[in-house]
Amino acid sequence: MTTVRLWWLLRRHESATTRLPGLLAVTAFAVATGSLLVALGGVLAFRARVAPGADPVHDPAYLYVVLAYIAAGLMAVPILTLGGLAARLTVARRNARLANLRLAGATSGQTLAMTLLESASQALLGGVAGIGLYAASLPLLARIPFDGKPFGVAPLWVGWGLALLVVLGVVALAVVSGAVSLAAVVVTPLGVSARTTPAKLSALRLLVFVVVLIGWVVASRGVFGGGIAVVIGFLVAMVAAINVIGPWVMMLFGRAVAATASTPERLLAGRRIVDDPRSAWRASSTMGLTVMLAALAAVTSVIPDGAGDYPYVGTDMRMGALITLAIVGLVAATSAGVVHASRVIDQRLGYRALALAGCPPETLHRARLLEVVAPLLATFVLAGGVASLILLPISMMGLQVLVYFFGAVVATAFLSVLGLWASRPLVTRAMALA
Amino acid sequence: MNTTTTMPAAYPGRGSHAEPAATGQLTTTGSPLVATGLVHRYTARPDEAPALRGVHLTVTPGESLAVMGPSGSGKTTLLHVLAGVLRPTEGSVHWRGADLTKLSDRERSRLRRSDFGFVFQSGQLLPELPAGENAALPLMLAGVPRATALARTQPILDALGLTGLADRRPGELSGGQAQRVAIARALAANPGVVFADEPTGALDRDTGAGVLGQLLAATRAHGAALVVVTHDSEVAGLCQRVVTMRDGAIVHDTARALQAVAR
Repeated sequence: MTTVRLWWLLRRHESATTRLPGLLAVTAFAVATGSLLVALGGVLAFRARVAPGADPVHDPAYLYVVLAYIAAGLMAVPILTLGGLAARLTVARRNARLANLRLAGATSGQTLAMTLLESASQALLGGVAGIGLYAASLPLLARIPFDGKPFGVAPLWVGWGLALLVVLGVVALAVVSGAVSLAAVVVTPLGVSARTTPAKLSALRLLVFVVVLIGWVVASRGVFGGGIAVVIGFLVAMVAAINVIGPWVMMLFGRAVAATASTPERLLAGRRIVDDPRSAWRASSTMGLTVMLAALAAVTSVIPDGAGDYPYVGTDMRMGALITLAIVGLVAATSAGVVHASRVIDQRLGYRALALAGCPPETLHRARLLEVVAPLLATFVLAGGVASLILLPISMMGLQVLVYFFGAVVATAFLSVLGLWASRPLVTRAMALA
Repeated sequence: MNTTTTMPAAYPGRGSHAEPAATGQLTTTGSPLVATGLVHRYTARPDEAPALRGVHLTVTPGESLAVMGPSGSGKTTLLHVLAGVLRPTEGSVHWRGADLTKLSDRERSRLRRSDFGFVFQSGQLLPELPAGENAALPLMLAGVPRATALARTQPILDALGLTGLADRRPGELSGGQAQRVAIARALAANPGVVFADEPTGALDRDTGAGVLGQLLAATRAHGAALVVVTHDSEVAGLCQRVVTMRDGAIVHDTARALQAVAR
């Protein structure tokens, strides 16, 4: 039997119990594709407004193109991360089945091909649905005025060729991520990765972060003279620095939670964070980025509405920041849902054993909530602290900056918990005994 | 079968467990687990045979009982019904004055936490928790403070030969050591009955014999009854009593046979 036929056979006989993770993965691919197309459509629409041969320094339309590129750049990282997470989810739910296939005699090449087919088919399905999401959002986006006039649908539509290219890109991303995630199963037919004491993350990460932070403090004197692009440049550097220090902070945080845990919920949450601080960080890092973007959006609240050649620039930057924040927030919530679903699938045997031993589902739900809330708190303290540092001088210009910022932080926390709730049925199913 | 595994001094008298009870007369302190007229169907389809067909079984306090039979004979279903995991289609399971079949899911969960212990073939330890915390988890779930729970389970780990391994995670333990942690966890809350489903199925012969010997000795030392589901006649031979199932019914019970011979 060919690999493709074997894969199709397994797909056809997929039980209802394995459909939810598949649905989550397809949803994640759809959100990633749709968001990417919206970002791309925005860039193209702004570029279309630049007159041929216009002076980049004096043409207001050119400033909008730069801002659109920055917004798209900020969205790109979480969107691509989401694509990778969705591929991991596909592999996580297939691990046991693929390991059994290896034991039954399937070669590692066949196993790899089947997984990649699975990832690619879900990415393709999600990509097509993503085009639908993008198309559905166009009538709304088309009405939003930028530089005094709305775009209309046509300039925001990227065209079928580019849309299909984006879908192919998402499929390629899924295939590569799936291949990387599958390495463990291909290496060992038992499909069991031995869990040992987690490796300590280097404290050098702290050093990198401190260097960037000092760079910001030193450079901040001249930053505002350098214009908004310099501010955004530093924000991007901060995002990178936070991603370096994030897992390390998670590890310390998890250890502190586990060491002081007096209840099984806190103990489980703390140990799980220590077990895989990178995964804990992945679950909340996009939230961290959202917090940083919230800071950026807050900054725009004190920019004047506009003047001279740029009569709408302040209003437009606020709207652009809001759209970026909304898209990243949606991506963050989907990422949280996908990460938590993957973790439940990985730990389903342990959940079942706990249920048999009489552990009430509420205890596990509380442990999972803590597992999310604790890293989120750490993320918010970390990202929020850095953002506050950046906002402090600007907040002197208007209290609404802080109101706007903390409002966005609360909304982000809500989205993350929403992502956790999406994976709740998987826990209930893993604990079902009958 | 190799039964020469060294036993910790805490569990003397293991040798007596290696022989089936001579008369079927078992420890009688405490209350028995009594199952009456158990019938269980997984689906309502009339053409599908029931997993259990009128099973009557009494597990007396402190006894070790092996449930044998071919695959699909209803062994694991019986174990799950006895432990309150599954609610049978018909029949009752009485334990310490309560009919498990009449209890809510929540009440049965609470009962499993407080009164029963479980050992499975593999996979029941949480990979992220060190051995000591894995063993202490049932106590913590029952509301015992962490420090107390860890202190109470340490002697059980010591008695099972796991001294110094409390900080190791399951992935850093051998299969036999992991199963002994599972035994410690099953016994942590001082259960009345320990249910074991193929507890040595994932172990090699010698290690399996050692683990089973320790399971028998440990449950006896704690005054708990042991119900073991197994395919292995050598494992069953170490238990005081063996019931054999076929097509959802008990077709042979050594205790009844011995009683019949005595009469």
